[in-house]
Formats: sequence, structure tokens, C-alpha cells
Amino acid sequence: MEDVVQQALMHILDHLEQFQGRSRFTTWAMAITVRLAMSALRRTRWQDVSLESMTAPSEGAPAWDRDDTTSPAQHAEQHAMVETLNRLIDEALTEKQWMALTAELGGMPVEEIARRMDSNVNAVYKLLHDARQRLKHGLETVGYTAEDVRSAFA
Amino acid sequence: MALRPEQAKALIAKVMGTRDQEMTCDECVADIAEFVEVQLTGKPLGDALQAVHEHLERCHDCTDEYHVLRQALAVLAEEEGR
Repeated sequence: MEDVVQQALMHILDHLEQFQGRSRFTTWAMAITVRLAMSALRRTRWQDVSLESMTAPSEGAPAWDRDDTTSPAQHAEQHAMVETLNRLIDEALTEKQWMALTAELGGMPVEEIARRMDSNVNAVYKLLHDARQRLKHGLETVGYTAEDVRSAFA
Repeated sequence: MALRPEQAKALIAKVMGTRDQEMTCDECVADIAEFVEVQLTGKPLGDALQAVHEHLERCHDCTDEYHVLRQALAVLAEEEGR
């Protein structure tokens, strides 16, 4: 805790010129402190989790069971969309994008993904954004809209 | 490479909500202090802060930090009010 406070004070002093007065100074300083504290907590929480363990592939096609709240037609629509999504993942995404995507879906913080990829948060965020854009483009190309997805998974 | 059903469901909604231009985490951090203060006043967000709101909808790390900051400010306001 003391390390975080010291780190925060150093960071605030080193970046004073970035304070633009759009908020109170104390709020700006607290935001920096919260970020550093959360970063330290995430590092501790995820220190023993490897990227590979988050991205281990499913064996065969995962079961897609219908639940009682879903009609057969809705279930079929969901299944078709997910099959398309899985095909697009194979065709359009790089291995790195697949790893980052599944790790993020598993709850791994982007900062921790970046650490394991020897990268930085913004670069990983852009990697994920590009992946989502490619998948979105692929789904739209075969005719799916955001409304189709909303209604299939409502 | 095949997603598990729960991963697929989470991803597909996120994918269709993807915008061409999205704020990065560093850009969000630069504006989060102003965002939280405007939110606490109940005033409408401008375009720049709307981008923060959209980033928080898809970034759980920044969302966690937002909630902690907001809570900390609420405690501080209570202390100042005493």
C-alpha cells in the first residue's frame, strides 16, 4: 500500500503538466492513484495465471444446449450465428488476436494480457478492436445486423 | 479455434457494438476524472465524455476503476459535508 501511495505521488508530480483543470485537482490525483492501486491488485491476482491457460482450445465442437427460455427457432438462430462467428475467427483473426480475445473473455485484464505479450495496454486494446472489427465486418457481410443479434440472444 | 457457448454469447454482442473509432484506455484515464464529476452532478455528458461512457461499456478494467473512483469521491464528499 505504501509503495502504491509513493508511486502515485511520484506519478502525479511527474505529470502535473497534464492536469488541464477540467476536473478538481483532487479528483484527477485520485484517478491516478486508483489506477495504480488497481494495477497492483490485478498483478497480484493474476500472477500465477498464464495466457496459455486462458486460451486453451475446446476439444471438438462445444455443446450448444437449448435452455427452457429459448424457443427452438431462436436456438437455431443462435447456433447458426455462433457457427458463423467461429468460422470467421478461424479465417479472419491472427493467433495473437485469438489469444488476446479469449483471455479477455475469460476476465484477464488487458494490462495482464499486455504484460504476457511483451506489449502495452493501448497496443493490446487496438489488437482487440481490430479483431472485433474484422468479426463485425464478417458477420455483416453474411447479412447479420446488430438487431438480428439482439433478437437472437434476447 | 472454437469458442465455448458462454464466450460466444459474450463476444457476439460486443462485436456488433464495435465502433470504427474507439477510445483507448489511456485516453479514458485522461478524461475519467471529469467524467465522474459530471456524472455526480447529473448534468448531460458532452460528446467527448460520451466516448468515455462508451469505452466503459466495453472495458471491464476501466469500469472497475471508475466505480472505485466514484465511491472514493462519494466518501470524500461525505467527509467534507461533516
